[in-house]
Amino acid sequence: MRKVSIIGVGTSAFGKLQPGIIEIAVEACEKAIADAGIEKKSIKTFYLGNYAGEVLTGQALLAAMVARGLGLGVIPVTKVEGACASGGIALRHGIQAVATGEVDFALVAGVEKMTGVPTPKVTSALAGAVDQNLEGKVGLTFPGFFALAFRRYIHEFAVNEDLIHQVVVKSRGNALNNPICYLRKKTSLEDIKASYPVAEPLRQMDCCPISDGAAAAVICPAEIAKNFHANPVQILASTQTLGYTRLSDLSSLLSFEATVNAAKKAYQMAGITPADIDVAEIHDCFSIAEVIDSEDLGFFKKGEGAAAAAGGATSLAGTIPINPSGGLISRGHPVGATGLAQVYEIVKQLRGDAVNQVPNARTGLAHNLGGPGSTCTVTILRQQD
Amino acid sequence: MDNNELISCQFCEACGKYNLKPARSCRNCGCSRIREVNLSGKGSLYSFTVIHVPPENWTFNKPYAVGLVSVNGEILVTALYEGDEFDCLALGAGVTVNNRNGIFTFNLAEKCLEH
Repeated sequence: MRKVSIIGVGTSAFGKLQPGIIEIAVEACEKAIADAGIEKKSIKTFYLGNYAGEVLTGQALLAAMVARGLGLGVIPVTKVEGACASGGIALRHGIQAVATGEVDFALVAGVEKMTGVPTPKVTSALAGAVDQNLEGKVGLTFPGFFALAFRRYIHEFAVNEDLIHQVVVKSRGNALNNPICYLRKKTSLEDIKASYPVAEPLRQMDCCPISDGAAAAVICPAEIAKNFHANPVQILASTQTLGYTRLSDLSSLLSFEATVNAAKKAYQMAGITPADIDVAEIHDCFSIAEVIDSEDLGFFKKGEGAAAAAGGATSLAGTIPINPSGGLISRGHPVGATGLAQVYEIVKQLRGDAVNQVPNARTGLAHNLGGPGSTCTVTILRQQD
Repeated sequence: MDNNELISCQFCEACGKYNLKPARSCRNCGCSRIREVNLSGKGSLYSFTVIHVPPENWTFNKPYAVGLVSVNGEILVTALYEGDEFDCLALGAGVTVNNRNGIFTFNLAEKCLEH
């Protein structure tokens, strides 16, 4: 399998957007294609991540709709879904298509349109990621699942609840510099604790905002990447794992095995350890998620993630800057788009072109987690020499 | 024992996992050698949350509490709290899980002393 690189990235703004779901995706794709400097006819496969297009907009057949909107040729176009990991899954399939030699240029994207829909309907759409035979029947919502993890986590590790809420403060601070983000307002611990309870102990500001958005990337063999972009970013590892779908499958609410397994395999493939990662975009759909993810990815010991973050380890100047973009919690979480929005930020970091630039960032990691720890992708990227 | 308090599972003879229904194979190891076992609903509260933002068509209380109950120490069961004394819910509290026509609910095993 040959080495592959990302030569183009693009994104829409995130938030309440005017255009429809197809147009938002077309915009992000066109930006990525322009960034790559390739002709559309070079693209020989397209993967699109999307979670709830039919449920929230009534628009199905999205990969074909977006591809036709772009004017792509007679090529395979495929929509992939793995709840919140849909974007990461689309990316991995594009990587595989190029790595195996099936195609030379793959376009990957993710999109979601969620605003302008009544809250109960969005809540139900997101709750679709829990097992409808069991959790769904008793009204467990998606924030409800993470709230269960939050309460168990602080109990088992004797961690003050405030330390969990506090990770949001860091991310919202990062967002002040990032025009892509939906929420760009300095946020204090007091603000978070005073916000509306969603699923206790999660308050509204512990939760990523409902948002529209899309992100896209163009992938080609590493060998020819410099013909197209001065600073290509190479894929060192791309992994995807199955986790659990029912709470009754779990032995623990403190760790997501899908992440642990995807990360372990990715570090092995890349020939590195967590200490070698200079910057990471990880799946902070909720405050507690960032804490658990940071431990599952090997950045901190289990139970120590919140204290480490409170001590500054995950800030821009810290030992492992996490979510320099502002994260899902500030950017928003248009579900299908997130995996590629994370990669957009890592690519910018490794090009030296990010708004919150981590000095000398050479190796980055993107972590995308779907459902109650059900699907996961981990991507390790490096500045191409 | 009241039938309401029976949690019907599929026990895997290969790996020892208890699978909640529906299950055609073991969810842990994939083996088809699974047999029906009924567990009593006695357990302890592993975690809970009070939900203020319900899904569509929610007709029960608002807010409401959902718990994750460790039943018999063997399996975690997600259940809806039948009561409204949220202050009485605490991790480790003894609870009883009921099966109300395929929907799991729970009550505290002991009367709450706070009220």
